[in-house]
Amino acid sequence: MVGRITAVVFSTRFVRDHKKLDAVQRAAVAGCIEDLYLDPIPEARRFHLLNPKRAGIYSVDLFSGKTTHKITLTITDGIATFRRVDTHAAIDRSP
Amino acid sequence: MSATTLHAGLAGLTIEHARRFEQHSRDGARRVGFVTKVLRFAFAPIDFLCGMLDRQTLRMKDQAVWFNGVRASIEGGAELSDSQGVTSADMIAELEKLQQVIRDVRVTFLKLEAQVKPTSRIGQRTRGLIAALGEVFDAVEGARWAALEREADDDIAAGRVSPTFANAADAIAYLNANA
Repeated sequence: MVGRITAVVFSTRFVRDHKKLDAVQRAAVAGCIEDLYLDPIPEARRFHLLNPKRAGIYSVDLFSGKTTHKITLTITDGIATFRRVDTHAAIDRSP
Repeated sequence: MSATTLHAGLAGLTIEHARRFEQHSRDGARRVGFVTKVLRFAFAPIDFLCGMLDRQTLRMKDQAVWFNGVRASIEGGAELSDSQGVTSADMIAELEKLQQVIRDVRVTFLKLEAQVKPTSRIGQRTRGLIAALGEVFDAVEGARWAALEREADDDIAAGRVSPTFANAADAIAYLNANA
C-alpha cells in the first residue's frame, strides 16, 4: 500500500496542466488532494501502477469510477509528488 | 552506440511517422468507403473489399506494435528532442491529432459494420478492423503518456517543483493562485 501521505509537492508540469482544466475538473483535483491527506485514503481512490517497469509511479482517476482523466504521482516517505493531470483517452474496444 | 544516440530525435521520427499513418488511414478509409458504395450495385468486389479490410487490419496491428515501441523507447530513456528544435510537446500534440484521426476512421468502419450482416465475411472483417483500431489507439495513448511522464521526470530532476505543503488547504490554494 502507499501508506499515509503527510505532504504534497507539485511538479511545474502539474501546475501547468491544472491551469488548462475547467472548474469541474479543478474541483475534482481539490477533492483528490483532500482525500490523499486522509488516513486511511478512501477506497474509491484506487491507486494503479502506471507501468510495471516504473515502480513507484501511481495513477489515480480524477473522477471516481470514471477513467476520463488521471493524475500521476509518486509517494516517497509520505510525500506525494504530483506529476501530471491529463485526459485518459480511450475508445470502446467492443462496439 | 548508446541507446540515447540510437534514438536521437525520437519525437521528430514519431511525428513524421504519425503524419504518414494519418494520411494512409484516411486514404484507406476513403477507398473502403468507395468500394462499399460500389457494392450496392455489384457483388464482384466482395473479395476485393475483404482484402482491403484485411490489409487495413494488418496495418493497424503493425502500427500498434510501432507505437508500443515508441512507448518502450521513451521509457527506456531515448532522447526525444533533436537539433532541429522538435520537442516532446510537438510530439504529444501530433499524437493527439492522430488519435482524433483514428476516432474518425473508426466511425467510418462502424457505419460500414451497421450496413452489413454481422455473420457475413465483410461484417467479421470489419469487426476485426474496429478492434485493431482500438489496439492502435491504446498504443498511441501509451506513447503519449510516456512522453507526458518524461516531461514530468525532467521537471523533477531539474528541481522545478512547488514548495511542500503539509495540508490540503494550502496545497489547493497554491494551485488556485497559479491558475
